[in-house]
Amino acid sequence: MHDIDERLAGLGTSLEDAAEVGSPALARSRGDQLRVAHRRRTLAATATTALVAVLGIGGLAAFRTGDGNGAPVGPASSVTTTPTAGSHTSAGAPEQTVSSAPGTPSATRPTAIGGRTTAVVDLNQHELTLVDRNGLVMKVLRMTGGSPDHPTPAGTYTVTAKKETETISSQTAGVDGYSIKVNWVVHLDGGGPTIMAATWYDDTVIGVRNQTRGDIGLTSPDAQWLFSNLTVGDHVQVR
Amino acid sequence: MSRERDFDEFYLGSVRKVTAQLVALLGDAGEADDAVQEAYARAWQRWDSVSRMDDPIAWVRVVAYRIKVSSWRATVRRTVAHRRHGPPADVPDVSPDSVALVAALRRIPEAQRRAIVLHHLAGLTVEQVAAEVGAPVGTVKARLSRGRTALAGFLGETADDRMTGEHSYA
Repeated sequence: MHDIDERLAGLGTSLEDAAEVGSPALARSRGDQLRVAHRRRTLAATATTALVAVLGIGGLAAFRTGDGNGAPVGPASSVTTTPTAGSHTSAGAPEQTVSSAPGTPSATRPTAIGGRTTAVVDLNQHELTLVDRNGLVMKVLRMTGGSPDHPTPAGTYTVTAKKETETISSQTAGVDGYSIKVNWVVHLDGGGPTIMAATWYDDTVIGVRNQTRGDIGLTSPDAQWLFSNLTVGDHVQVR
Repeated sequence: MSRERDFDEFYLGSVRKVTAQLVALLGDAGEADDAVQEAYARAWQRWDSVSRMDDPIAWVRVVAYRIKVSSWRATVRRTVAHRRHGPPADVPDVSPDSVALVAALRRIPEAQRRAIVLHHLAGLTVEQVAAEVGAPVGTVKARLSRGRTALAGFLGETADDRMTGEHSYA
């Protein structure tokens, strides 16, 4: 057995020596590409958020339920129900916005990816929408994502594992020392966030603001529901 | 500018170790290279937070491993066929003993292989391995013990007789 230990130690050295290593500049340029792509997605998300705000609550409801392609335009009412689009004061403004951003409504409406059940995480709205394989909204859950210091990376991920109970520690999260037992854990591939029951957050956080270290937190009942409705191979889209 | 220098230093100081560990984990140098490059790119993408972590190397290793394992599981059949029949598809130019070890590692279960590589190649303590893979310490110890026994079997050795209380691989 001691022999095995020595041989394994030797294997490490041997593989290190044989490793073909690229330049760090190459890794950086690829990283920059990822960052640009991420920024584009973020900008698109911001644009669609503004669009939704301009269209008003009626339009929002239409998108949520995903019933058809009706372009709900009620200029008079939408101006009064515009919480964030302060610059749009004229009645013509909403139409202008719609025409200048073609195709954005389809990016707003959660859709199923690859014919699989898909959880769409909207970091700006603090909502997780589960869409079944036919594109029908199953449920909209309140969530909390990564804080501005630890933003949840946008992207489309695949569920790789589910665990009813798991100990999450600082080693895996990469921040200062903690180790905590969590329930209803859903793991994603490719450096994606982990989804779990965040029992240490209450109603003032979940569904209200992003306060995690990058992972996605749900209330315990919601996390359990999601856990039982997502299977390995399903998709999670973070935007 | 110092951000770039900082990253380059981290990259050059760790990329060989991480690549070696991923080759041992994945059993394939090409796949390991791809995963490691992608992981370092992602590290640079969010370098401000990664650089402040206690152990940025562990972050890169975990990301690289997840990138590959997810694509692996999508092609389980292929992997199983490889394990059963194939010699390693792509192992760098190393000694025959290393090739044999990588081949043997490919034949033991994924969880045991990960524990062995992290403990023996990456030099992590059992507690650190437990934290990285998200399993209890006792489980990691069992995986290490079973994994080494299985490895010895595949390498045509008998388990050390001095280690009583352990079953030799037969």
